[in-house]
Amino acid sequence: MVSRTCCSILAAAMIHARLAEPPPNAPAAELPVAGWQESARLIRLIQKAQQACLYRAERKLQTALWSSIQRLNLKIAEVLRTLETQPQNKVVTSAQSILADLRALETEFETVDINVPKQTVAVETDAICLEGRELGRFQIVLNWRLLGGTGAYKVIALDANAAATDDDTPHPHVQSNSLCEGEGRVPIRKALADGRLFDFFILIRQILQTYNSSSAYVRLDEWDGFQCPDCGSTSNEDDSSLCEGCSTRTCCECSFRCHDCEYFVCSDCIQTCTGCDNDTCSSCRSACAECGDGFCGECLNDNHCPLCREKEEEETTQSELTTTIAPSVSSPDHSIHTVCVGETALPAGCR
Amino acid sequence: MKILVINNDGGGFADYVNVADDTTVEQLFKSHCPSADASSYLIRVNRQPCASDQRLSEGDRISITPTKIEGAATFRRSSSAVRPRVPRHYHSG
Repeated sequence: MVSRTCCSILAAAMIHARLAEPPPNAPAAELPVAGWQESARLIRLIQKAQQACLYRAERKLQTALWSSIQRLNLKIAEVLRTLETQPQNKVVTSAQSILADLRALETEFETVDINVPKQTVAVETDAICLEGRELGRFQIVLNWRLLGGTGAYKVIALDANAAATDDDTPHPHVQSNSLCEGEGRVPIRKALADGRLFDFFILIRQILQTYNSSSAYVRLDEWDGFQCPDCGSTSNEDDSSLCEGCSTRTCCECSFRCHDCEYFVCSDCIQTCTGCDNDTCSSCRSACAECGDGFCGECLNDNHCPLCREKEEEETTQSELTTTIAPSVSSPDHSIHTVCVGETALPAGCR
Repeated sequence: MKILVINNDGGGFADYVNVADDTTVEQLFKSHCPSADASSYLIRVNRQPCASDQRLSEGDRISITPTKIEGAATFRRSSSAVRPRVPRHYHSG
């Protein structure tokens, strides 16, 4: 007990000293000018492609623009993070208050471990259950040596129950021992900057006890893996594709590219064109008005497939031919009679 | 009397505020979060759980933390979910 109290006092003093240290010179924020210029250039190119009706080029440029803006967005977020970490009229929490925080942790968490040589404070949460799925206990480890920087704390799963598709994801919002704080980001930063360790650990615990299905590394309904409805195989969601026709998610093996529109569709929405044997999605395929078989747009002409057109043409030709030779068809009887001239049967007495 | 109020909802700011003597935890919560439901928050006075009718004292430290804080994923790894959708008529040509 005495050693534990000593550890707490020592840790409180060290954390206070760490917080009181003058901050290192913060790097100057740098705007992503090059990324901005690249995006602007792509927009100009898209406009030119639109004017020239170069649809394929436009589509490629749209994709490139999307990637460029994503990168720009990440760089801006990085600048914001840099600015947020810069101290603003910092008031250092007293060692006494830090000690009270460390002691209070024992009322909130069953296991609290203060390791002075390693400069860490670790707590263990109760077993976490989200939407009926047991995720087990988690350990939150704060390294006070890293306070003020990135990666000051880790969230470690103590009971292995990671997502089937990703061993590194033991919780929908934890990956590689790192918690994605979401709504808790600002209060966590503030609590760490102020040295309010009690609030910090409570905030982390509350995030772990909350599930945000719209932004999870792995959704709980896919925790056991994604099962392809076509072939039944279980795979990672990364290796899946969403059908553009019916929005069914299938594995990549069961996803097919339409020859006409180049969208990826599932096996139910793809069919081989009877005319050219190319895979065509249901949107690009039409039925022949004559035989009813499915054909791609290129093979159909006036809603008729090549075979039916050919057949129709043959019939038309035949009918035209029949009409042309019709007058001579009435004379066969005459020709027969002509052949028989002079061969008239005579009575025997005529000889 | 002066007390320290730490609101971990949103900004997570800690401020000293003046309140009337004999103010209860419930009254303080309603004055700070008028439209919020107290059952959705962990309220601690001097880092300890408290009753709603507990009277505050000079120098008390009261922290208000939402019970539900939504985490997020840094990136969504499903390529199809973020793939830019190109209007269909672009493909017709």
